[in-house]
Amino acid sequence: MPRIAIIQFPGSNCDFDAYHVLKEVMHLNAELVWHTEFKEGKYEAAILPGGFAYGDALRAGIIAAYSPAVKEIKRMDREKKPILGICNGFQILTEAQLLPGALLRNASTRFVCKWISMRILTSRSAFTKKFAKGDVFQSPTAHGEGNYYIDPAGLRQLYDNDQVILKYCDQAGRITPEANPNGALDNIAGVCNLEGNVAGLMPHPERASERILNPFRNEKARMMFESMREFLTGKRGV
Amino acid sequence: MEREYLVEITIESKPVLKDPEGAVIATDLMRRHGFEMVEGVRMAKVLRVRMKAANEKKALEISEKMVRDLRLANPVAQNYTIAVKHA
Repeated sequence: MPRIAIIQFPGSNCDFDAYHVLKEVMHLNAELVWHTEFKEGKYEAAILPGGFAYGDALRAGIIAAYSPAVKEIKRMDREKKPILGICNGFQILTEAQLLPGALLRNASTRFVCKWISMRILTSRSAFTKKFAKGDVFQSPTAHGEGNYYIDPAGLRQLYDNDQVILKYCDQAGRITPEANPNGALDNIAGVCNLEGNVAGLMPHPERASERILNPFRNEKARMMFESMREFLTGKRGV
Repeated sequence: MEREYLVEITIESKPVLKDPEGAVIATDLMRRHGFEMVEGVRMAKVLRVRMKAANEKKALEISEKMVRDLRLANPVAQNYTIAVKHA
């Protein structure tokens, strides 16, 4: 069974949530790996979990982006292995330039901690394969710097290349300013790279993957991890 | 002989971006409390770096390289200025 690394930086705090879903709920071969121990050759996929790596010094994600572990992640990307950044992990992937754009301070200047709805824009990425375009699901958000920004030329490229995977929406799936928790450009909640193997999002699907944890009484968020499983098994021709 | 320099690296978001924190300081603190002449505020971050370098020009070169190589300012969203001072 493919080995999946959940990389722990000093300050990561959603590492066990991700581990719980992958290992206890989905029975995948997931491991918590301290960042200095991480060697990409041993793993087929990696999750960069949420938290406050290095205390968000200078900018959320920048210190981790220069760590040896992220050098390994870049090697992993060259082999087109699936890599997901959740919240702080998304910030790390943009700072490492594995994903385009930047995550700025929330427009409200406040930390946002609430359940939001998201709409799937593409099933092209390794983490949205099992969704249909237009699917809506919910997850909690908890961040101070989740305001996605990219310049107009970059935004055009994102749309031209089908790289916007998720947008904030209301429960009916309408993409409205009221449904945007942080001021993100065009309500963008998540993006992927050109090839679709690297993806990042601000909300926390790992905290919404079981019915008992989800006030909307569904497990749709888990489809992100089930997509990864399908991507991994598909690639191996199993 | 090397000298010690104090380099001030100022990092702020690009003018095209909103700065909600600066806006609150301008409207709800300064203008509301007697400083109506204030037209705007932008929040910035200053890194005060002490370093040894052969001369002022070298200190500037090193600082420029450091900002670029380590992305001290995020080119997607931020600008920076560098001022070299004697320590």
